[in-house]
Amino acid sequence: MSRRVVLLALEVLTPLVVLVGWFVISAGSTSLYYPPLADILERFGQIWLGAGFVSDALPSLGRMLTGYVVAAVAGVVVGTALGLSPVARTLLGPAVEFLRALPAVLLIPFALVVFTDDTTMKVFVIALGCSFPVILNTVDGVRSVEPLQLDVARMFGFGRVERLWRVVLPSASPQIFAGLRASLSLALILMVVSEMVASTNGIGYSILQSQRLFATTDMWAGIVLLGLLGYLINIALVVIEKRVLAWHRGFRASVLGS
Amino acid sequence: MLVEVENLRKAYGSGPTAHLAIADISFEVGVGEFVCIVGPSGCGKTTLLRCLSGLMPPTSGFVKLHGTAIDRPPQEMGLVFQEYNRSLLPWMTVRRNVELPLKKKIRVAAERSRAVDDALAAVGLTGFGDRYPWQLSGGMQQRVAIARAMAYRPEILLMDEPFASLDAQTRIELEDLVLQVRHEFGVTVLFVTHDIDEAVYLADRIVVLSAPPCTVAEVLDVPLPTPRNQTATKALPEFAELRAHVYRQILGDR
Repeated sequence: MSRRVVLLALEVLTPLVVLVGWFVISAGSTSLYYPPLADILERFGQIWLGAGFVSDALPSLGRMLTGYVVAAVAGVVVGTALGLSPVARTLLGPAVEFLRALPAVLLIPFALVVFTDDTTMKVFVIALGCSFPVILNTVDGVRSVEPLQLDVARMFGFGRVERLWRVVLPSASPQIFAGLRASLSLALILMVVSEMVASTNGIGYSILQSQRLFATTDMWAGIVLLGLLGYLINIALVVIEKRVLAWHRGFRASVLGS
Repeated sequence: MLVEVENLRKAYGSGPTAHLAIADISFEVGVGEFVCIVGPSGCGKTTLLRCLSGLMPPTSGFVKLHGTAIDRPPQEMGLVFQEYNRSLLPWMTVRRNVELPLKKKIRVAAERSRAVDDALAAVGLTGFGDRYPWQLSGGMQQRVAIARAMAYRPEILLMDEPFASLDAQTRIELEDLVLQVRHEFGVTVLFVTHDIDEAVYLADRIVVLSAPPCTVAEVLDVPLPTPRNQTATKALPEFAELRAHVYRQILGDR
């Protein structure tokens, strides 16, 4: 049996063992705080595979996705501009560093005042918070383009747009993806927190509501859902990244190997 | 004259701390010629080539193409760098790398595809189009770079120490490949190298540069018979004489 198979087996088996362990240990528990996993899963099915999915999970996912896409697009645009222009970096660099140092959840009190619309407020918080990792990584990626490849673009008589599109952005794509991955977990956090502070629906709202009503089983079911969502969304991004950056893995392996 | 270099001078920086890389260089290249530029290491060969290709403006003097001074990389020139692994774009397949400069020149996809096939065939890489550059050996990557430079049929092929980081056998193969490509496409070649044997073997004419700050020490005709042959040409007494002559120019009587 090869090393890979063993590793894959471990990757799949370890969580299963943890789950089975949780199931067995929690079985028959009468504690209000630690209900049996069997009950949690039952409620999970009732709430999240039923009406709750439409009334709470979908709005949450919609806001998160909107905010994330806005952050991704804006982050790449701003990051590319900053990466290409030393003047822009001098002017805006300190401001970006300052804003990024602020925890994104601090935006919520401000956003609450500014935006009357609930959804806009959350999308704004998610979008702004998530854009910084993308911006900073894009700046890095754009600045570390191989100078020789820029020379090649000049020899081919490429204009600015063509140079950007065919050389700079593909070359920066590994770093851009690193930023996108970092933002993804941030998007999930910001979604939940913004819903806990002010909302009338959503997963975060639902979890907080369950806790207030001492429906701890429902609360746990919501936490399980968040864990699953986070895991699945990350897998989706990894799959996309593996396709888009297939060249990068091979290239790096060949450079390191030689 | 196809290319005229007139009193080219290049200094980095300015004022008293300026570093003079090229003091004064003039030479000419005719249509179809194969000219090698050799010089001692650190004599500003790469600087010279960057000025010749229009990638870098000279401090003073001109590089003229068809009698007009160039101020940017002209479309009539193709350039092959020494660092094939950095100049090829690793996110594109071999085919797309070669196709890249053709996008604007050849609008019809089928014609463009044929041009790519021809260029790959000319460097002996038929069937490797769908590989990525980093899947190929160094010699094959440099062949891709040559195909990419030749695909849009430049009048002039500039080469900056293209074989310096390849092993001896691959280098010999590629030297002959360049001669063959030059014959096939009728392209003018300007070839910068620090390898004196390579320069004498390839060139119709050699421009020998002095130690920095660099000037032209000598322009030398190479009247060796063509087509060149790695064993026969290098066995000629004239080859040995020319080689010894250039060595003396560059290294002194050691």
